[in-house]
Amino acid sequence: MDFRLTTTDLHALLPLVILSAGACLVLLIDLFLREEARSRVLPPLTSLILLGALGAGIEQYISLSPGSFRFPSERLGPLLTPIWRHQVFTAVGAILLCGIALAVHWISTSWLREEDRPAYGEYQCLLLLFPIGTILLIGARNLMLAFVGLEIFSVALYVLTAMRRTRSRAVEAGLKYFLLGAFAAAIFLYGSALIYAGKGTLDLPDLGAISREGLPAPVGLAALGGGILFLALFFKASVAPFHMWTPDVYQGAPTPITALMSTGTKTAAFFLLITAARLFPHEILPLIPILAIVSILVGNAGALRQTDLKRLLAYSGVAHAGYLLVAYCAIALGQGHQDAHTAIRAILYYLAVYGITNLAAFGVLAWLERREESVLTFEGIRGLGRRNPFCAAVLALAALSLAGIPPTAGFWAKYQVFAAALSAGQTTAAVVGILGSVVGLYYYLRILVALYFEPAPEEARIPAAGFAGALTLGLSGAAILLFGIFPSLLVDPLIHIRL
Amino acid sequence: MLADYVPILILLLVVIGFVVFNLAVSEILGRRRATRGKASTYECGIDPETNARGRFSVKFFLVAVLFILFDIESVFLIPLGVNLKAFAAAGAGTFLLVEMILFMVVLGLGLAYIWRKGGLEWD
Repeated sequence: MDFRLTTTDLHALLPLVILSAGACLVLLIDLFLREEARSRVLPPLTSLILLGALGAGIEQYISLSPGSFRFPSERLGPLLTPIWRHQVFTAVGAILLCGIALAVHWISTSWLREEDRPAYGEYQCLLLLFPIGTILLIGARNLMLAFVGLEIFSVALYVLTAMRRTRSRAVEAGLKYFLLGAFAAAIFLYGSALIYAGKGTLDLPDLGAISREGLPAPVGLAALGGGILFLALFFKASVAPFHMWTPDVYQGAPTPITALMSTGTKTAAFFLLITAARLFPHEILPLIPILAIVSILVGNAGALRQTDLKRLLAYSGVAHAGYLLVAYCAIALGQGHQDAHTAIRAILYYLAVYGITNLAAFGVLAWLERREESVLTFEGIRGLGRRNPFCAAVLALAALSLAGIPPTAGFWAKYQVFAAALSAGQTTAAVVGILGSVVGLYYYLRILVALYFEPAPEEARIPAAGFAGALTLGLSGAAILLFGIFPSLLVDPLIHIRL
Repeated sequence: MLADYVPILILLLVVIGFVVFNLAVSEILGRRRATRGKASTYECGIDPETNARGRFSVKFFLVAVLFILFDIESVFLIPLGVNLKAFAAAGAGTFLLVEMILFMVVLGLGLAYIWRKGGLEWD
């Protein structure tokens, strides 16, 4: 066997190498530097590492796009070929996840300052481990590597969720997430084992992932394994009826971590759902539109009754997983490549927009959050439009985008998703999705009402946001508008996506 | 075919013989003084029957987890140590050595972390 790493291999792994080395460095600094030096060095260093990884991802994207002459041979060496997919798809995933982690890092700077123990090193180190795991999950060609990635980012998230270990809510959230997540991981592993028993390989393209038309459908053990594997992925993407953990965990976790969970985990899970689409057992394919419809109904119905904003966004996340599944129907049930690729682009666009929007919403919440927990309710944001117009404007934009109102990016995301489903003949799911968005309008507009049409309570202190937090909010707010007015800015880069 | 299994059979006999021998020797030579603690079920130093809501020291588990971590390290290191010359002859020596050093650096970082954070202090 040939054990050499080629330059292409290193190029393919560059974001991961930067992140891993950075995580080790951050941990070392946390151990051997004094408190005040640490709090001065670590945040900029973490930003730098994440920016580096983001840059590496963008560089990969550019050099992998057709028409680029940077790297004459983009074929991986003998070591990486069986386990890694060096494609535009992976690069897009790396860009998305590094961007999400960077935004979360920036919105957590002000939040950390409000904490009693700003546990610096561990927080940043785990924040760097999250994109490592998710990028491994997305780029993996082999299900075992995908499992390793799943575990890396899940363990990082369990710890981050329970970071505020003196609070009962955080401990409850951490324990719930850990127990259910560990079960999901075990189920994922069990599914892979059954697939291996049935097919004799864990290589995704060999298993008949989407690029190989005409392979026989998985039968017997492999079909069972595929179904089980999807169960675990649906859990991670918080698709109903596997969503029970979502509201409690989102509420108990630190707000920036909730943002990471709701955007990053969903992105990674849907990327793997797309790559593993052909593993879903054919006998129960009609379940996917049903799951989409159930998620939309459960998510929207649950969100209607919430007063806590984090719980509301959790249920709205379940509904959004449903909308994403509507487009996923076109991949799983649609006829031919054209439908599938339209749907993949729609899902990636949706994930990017949903990521930006949710980061904006949770960014505002993280800014407002103080040591008392009562603030993140409709009561807490009353009259924010007058108290802090900038915060209120970003939150309002995010709510409009989540609802899918035209001048925002959320509208185009929903439009593409439903258009992809309709062109693949998934009418029922698309119609339920559109009706669900109308119901969703009610609770998103309640946020706007609380922001602008209700009087502000007396003596409400708003902590200082810090430059990075304000920058993130400003950027994401601007992006929501920009991609809403010029959707082609985000659509065009996704054209080269192939599986 | 079946002759290949003879070493396993021998190992099995040795293992069973070892257990029987030790049990017999301690049965013959050992003194018996029953105490309350000896009579109760042994479960990693914790009283087996108490209120489930009671608090217990986490130290044992910490040590156990750390032990597993470094135990696994040796599981990876020893096969490499045994086979490194063969790999070097096949031209993969440097690669595997670098890989293993990276692995140990990461583990060492973990050890440093535990140490600095006071995970190794018993009291």
